Amino acid sequence: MANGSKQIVDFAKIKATMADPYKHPVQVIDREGKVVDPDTLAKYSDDQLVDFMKKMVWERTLHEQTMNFSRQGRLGFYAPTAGEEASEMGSVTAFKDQDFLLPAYRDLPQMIQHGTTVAKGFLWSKGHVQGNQHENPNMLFPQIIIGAQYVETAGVALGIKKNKDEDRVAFVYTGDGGTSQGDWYEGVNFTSAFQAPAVFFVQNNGWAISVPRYKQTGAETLAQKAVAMGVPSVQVDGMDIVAVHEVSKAAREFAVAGNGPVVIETLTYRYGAHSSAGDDPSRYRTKEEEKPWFDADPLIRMRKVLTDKGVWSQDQEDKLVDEYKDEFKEAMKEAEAAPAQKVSDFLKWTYNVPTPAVKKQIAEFEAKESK
Amino acid sequence: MAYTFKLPELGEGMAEGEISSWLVKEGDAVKEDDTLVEIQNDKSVSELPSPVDGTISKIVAQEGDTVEIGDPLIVIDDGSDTPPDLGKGGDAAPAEEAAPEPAAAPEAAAPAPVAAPTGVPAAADPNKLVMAMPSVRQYARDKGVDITQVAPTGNHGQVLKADIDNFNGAAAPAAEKAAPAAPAAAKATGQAIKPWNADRPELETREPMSPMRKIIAKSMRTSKDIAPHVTSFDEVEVSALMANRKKYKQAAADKGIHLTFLPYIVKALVAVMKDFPELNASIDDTTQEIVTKHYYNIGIATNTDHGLYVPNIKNADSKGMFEIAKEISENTQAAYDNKLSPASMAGGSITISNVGSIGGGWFTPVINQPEVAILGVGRIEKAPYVNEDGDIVVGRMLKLSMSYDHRLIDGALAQNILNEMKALLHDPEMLLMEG
Repeated sequence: MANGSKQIVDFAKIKATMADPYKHPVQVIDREGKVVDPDTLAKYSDDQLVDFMKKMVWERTLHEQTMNFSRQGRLGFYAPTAGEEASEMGSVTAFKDQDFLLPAYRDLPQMIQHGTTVAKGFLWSKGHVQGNQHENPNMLFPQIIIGAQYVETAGVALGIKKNKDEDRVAFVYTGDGGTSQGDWYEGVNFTSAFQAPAVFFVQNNGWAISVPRYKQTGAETLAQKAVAMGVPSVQVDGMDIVAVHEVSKAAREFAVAGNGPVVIETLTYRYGAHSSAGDDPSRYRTKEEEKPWFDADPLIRMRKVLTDKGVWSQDQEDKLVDEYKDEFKEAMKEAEAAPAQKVSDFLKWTYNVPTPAVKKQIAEFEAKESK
Repeated sequence: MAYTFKLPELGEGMAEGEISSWLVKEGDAVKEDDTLVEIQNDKSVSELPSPVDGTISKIVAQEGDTVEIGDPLIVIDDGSDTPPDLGKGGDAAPAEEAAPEPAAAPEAAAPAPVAAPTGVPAAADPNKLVMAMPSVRQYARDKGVDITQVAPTGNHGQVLKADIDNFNGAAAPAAEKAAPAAPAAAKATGQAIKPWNADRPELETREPMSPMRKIIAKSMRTSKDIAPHVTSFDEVEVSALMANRKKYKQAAADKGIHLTFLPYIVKALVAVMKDFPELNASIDDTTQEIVTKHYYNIGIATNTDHGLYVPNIKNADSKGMFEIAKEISENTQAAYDNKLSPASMAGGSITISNVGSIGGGWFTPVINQPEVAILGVGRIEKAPYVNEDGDIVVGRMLKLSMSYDHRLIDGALAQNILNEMKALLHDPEMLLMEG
């Protein structure tokens, strides 16, 4: 073909404009604490906004206390959550008790909000079977396999549709790294194929352990990946709890109405290590990168909005932190008082109706344990 | 009475840490979550907060001590009636959990087959770790065979399906035949690895190790035990070096000196060591100190028919190329004649292991203790080489393998060392400047 002849298709242009619908992440309160969408904010009462703030203080305190517990040798695996409070609390509060939550390992705070106890969260971290026995049965325990909960979500959502459950959705979380997994596409695609009710959250915190977001995919945004599956998607400022809540609520309504699933990418940041298993972020990212994110902290901007409204004070916050700390220490005592785990206990928890082999194993271990 | 705080697991793969500083002293009152101590490990520094309220009654591990997971760090009087627990252990396991083990033994011995001459307590232990594929386990269950009693013949002590077929309840106990698992077992129990055909000695011959072979075996093993070895490989184009040698070979010969490539490598090593003193160092394990040497004694591993010797060129930094070449020849001859003095082999800085005269490329030499590195040198081979102009030419490639003690020398440092080494060998005129 001669140089300069016109091609039948302009791939360069297609590529350059693919992310256009995602150029402006949804935002209500900007990083300076300025309200950029007053109409949306006006939909929320002061009490509701204070409750948002309380939940974020609660999650930040939980994070700090669990870091202490980890260093005291009192917890097992734990994934730090600092920085992701708006993304996690803003979203989980948009769902109802009957909705089915499929968490990953960074989602213990949402699980506790959705209906398990802090003590159970700690027991889960310690590898105790009681940590998986939640008060609200509408959730699984955290998925450790990256992205696998997306496939499970497809199943749960299809079940909801099959049973014709009303006013009920499945909702699920993964990180940016999860979107690089085959499971992610399969889960979203299957749910879309059946137009089943699910809300898929991608908490894009910038890092898949030590792999930065930009190295994980050629796509400019993670939200746009949903387009291929025929699923509507949105990017939201994940440090803005009002924006996250508003978007989550809209997604839930859309899915419940029988329109199929939604994908929501929250733009957030993991302040600390990937996990308590000992990665050191200073080995893979710079202080220069961290600083703007720390400045964008969801608590700082909400604190400013509420202080301007005269419904929040530092005293009030300090008192809350102390209260929460005591609550978590009590929960740890409760977790530590749990009876030593028996093998037979978790064998019994594996199947509702044990298979013959599992039955035999239960008997074997019960015989040993009774000695 | 007391809570004993033991070093918790702070990260994957972290087995120990060093107490960098205590932020409390004996007699201090502490509250839960107050920072007690800073621990430095290979990943980072961690501050450990107190798990309880109380008074510090005893600091067990001192600043500078290296502590392992489960080692007691500090005893805090928290008003409880637990006695201090200065033994090693993970998170305080209740005493009753440890107890049942001895009780299990008599019960376990019961099903031992009568025919077994050596007893099978381990074989009947339901807690015994059995390695087998799930399908094999299922197969065993279907056949009613207790898989813990089956002698494994697969790799790494795996029980195979055939083992289940061959299993005869009264046959020899599992422990005896577990040959593939022997290395691990030998380490755990201190029992020697059995020769392959112990029952058919006519297939093998045995002879005592010579004293020299014993010394080599011992020093190789000691070195690998002491130093975590890492070997970095690289190669350098040495046409210029070959030309230089060719040019001065005759001049050397006129003086009765055989000029090889080794003196160049010795000179280059000296120059590199001046820039990277870590290469000319030892670790004093008794005091946890780094000993940096101010002399440059370059060892040359010398292979003879009666053993391996490492005489070193003393103060190579103050000697010329010809002098070094002469000394290498003299040392080699002395090694062959078994006339090397102990002094000529003591006090080395670093060792060169040159297999180039025989052939070979990259290999992983073992460090000559107490040095911290050894440079392996292969044969110079013709190979395609992309030169500075971007043309593919026939290059003369010299392969370098440097093993180093990873306790002292980090991987990046090692590569920097090799990079400089390469620069000097690629352009021997640089040796005039540096050497």
